[in-house]
Amino acid sequence: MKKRALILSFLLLPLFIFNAHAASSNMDGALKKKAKRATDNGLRFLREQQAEDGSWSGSVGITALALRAFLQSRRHYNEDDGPFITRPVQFLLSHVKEDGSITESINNRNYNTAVAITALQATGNPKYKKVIENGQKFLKGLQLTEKSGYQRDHKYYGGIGYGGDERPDLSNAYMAIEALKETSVDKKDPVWEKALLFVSRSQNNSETNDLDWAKNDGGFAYMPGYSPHGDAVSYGSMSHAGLISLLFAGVDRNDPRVQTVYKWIQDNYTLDSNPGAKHNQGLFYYYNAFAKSMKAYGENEITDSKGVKHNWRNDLTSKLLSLQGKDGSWVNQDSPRWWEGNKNLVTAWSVIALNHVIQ
Amino acid sequence: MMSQSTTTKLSIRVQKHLGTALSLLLIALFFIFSRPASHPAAALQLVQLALVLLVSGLLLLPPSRHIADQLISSLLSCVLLLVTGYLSGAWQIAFFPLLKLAMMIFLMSLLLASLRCVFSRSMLIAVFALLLGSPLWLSPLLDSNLLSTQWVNPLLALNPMTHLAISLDLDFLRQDWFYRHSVFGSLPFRYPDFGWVSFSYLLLLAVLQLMPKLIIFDHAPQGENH
Repeated sequence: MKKRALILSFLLLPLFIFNAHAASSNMDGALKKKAKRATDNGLRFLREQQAEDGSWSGSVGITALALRAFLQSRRHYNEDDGPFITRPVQFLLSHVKEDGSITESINNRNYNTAVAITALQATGNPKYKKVIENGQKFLKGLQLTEKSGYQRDHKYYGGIGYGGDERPDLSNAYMAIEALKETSVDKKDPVWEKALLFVSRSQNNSETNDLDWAKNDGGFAYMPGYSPHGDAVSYGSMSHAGLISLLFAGVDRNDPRVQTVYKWIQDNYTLDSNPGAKHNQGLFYYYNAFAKSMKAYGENEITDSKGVKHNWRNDLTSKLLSLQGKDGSWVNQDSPRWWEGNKNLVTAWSVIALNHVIQ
Repeated sequence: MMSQSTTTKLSIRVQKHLGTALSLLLIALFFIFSRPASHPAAALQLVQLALVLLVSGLLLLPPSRHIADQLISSLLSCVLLLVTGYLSGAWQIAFFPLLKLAMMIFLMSLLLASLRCVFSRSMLIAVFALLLGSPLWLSPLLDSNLLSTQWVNPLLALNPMTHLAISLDLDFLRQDWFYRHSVFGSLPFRYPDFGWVSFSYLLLLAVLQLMPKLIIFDHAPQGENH
């Protein structure tokens, strides 16, 4: 009898663990199953689109994101799983430049290097330590500081841009911040404090933003005093990018900058659009940043301005499931801006978002 | 002994070149006094200067079928660019990219001088301005999905500013002003390869030089100041 009970316990144990995990995120079990299937389909689509050299769309950035989608999926793919993982890694390594950047073009050097070192870090292979360190140095070198002729009172101070120009923005800064966080740059490194200054100056919060342009809704613009959606309006993708940047740079959850942007997110809670953005531009960037920021903030539910509670995991999963194509891909049907007409990129972003939801 | 008419022709030619050189020198002086603080700023300034030199050459220089004239004016643009660039702080740009820029402005000036013998000045300026401004005037069409993003790379490849910017590895579409006024920088694009652009210029120049029937001085429109 005891033996039977023991066997039964062993058989029921996985179910118990599954339920306990589902309960910890309060996610609907059936939806979670569907999310897992959706990531599998997304990864299968990516596998079909992979070029002979292991890349996606011939781009370092897209290849790194797709690789990350595989490495951080629930199946935990790694380099032992075969050429579909080792070839993209080699593709990234073949684009390492003398200055530490990893890129195939003069534009997007920051994005490419940031996502490339994040993907290399995700392999867990110590062989890439030097490449990652050089990438970190390159990213830090892009930051606008006294070295590049900028003083602390300049609105661009501490910012990071695409890398082929001198115009920083929150999107690029967030990508660099995420890469530096994921690759464990020392918390005492001055790069964080300077980046935080720029991030804070991109927020519509006159209490914490020392620049004149700031309004007071708490959301984030694209860069100090400018938004591509008009004036310097706050919008969803940048507000979530701002929240991630604050949290990854070590700002406490109770800090007024975090609290005000969280309030903006509550006030503008929706997954039907990228709130504040025109023509649904940057929609999947929004979903990706949304998943990361909500996970980093650490609440399972978010209460909107009308007092309605939302399980963000359920909402995001439902939305992404409704937008997935039959071939397993995702694409922004409304706007190709910020590369969202590229199925490989958007699918990689969506899978990464779902990876954050189901893990 | 040279005849009087030859001497007069030569004198007029020298005067024209001197006038052009003087005008360009004034433009160069303007740039010298605005010293850029950093590498990208210096690169952008050099590209702007190169554009001004090209347009000035187009506006000031008379059309000439003589390859020697075309070479002289192109070399003049090239030298002015280098000298002005050096004086205004181009020391921040490495030697090789600077050399590439010098070569590019030489090729572009030469092509414009050759085309000047086939097309009227106003037509060339109009086409030049249209291509140069394409990221701006096509931006609303792209932003509202009325124009496919597939046009971005071909348009970029035809843009004179691209040809100058790629010499210095300058991502001009992401520069502050451009990024605020054009959606090009936020769409998938790839700058053309410097080698291919240079080769295209050489090819076009060869075609224009090797097809003398096309380059008929008399076709230049009447009433222009030659």
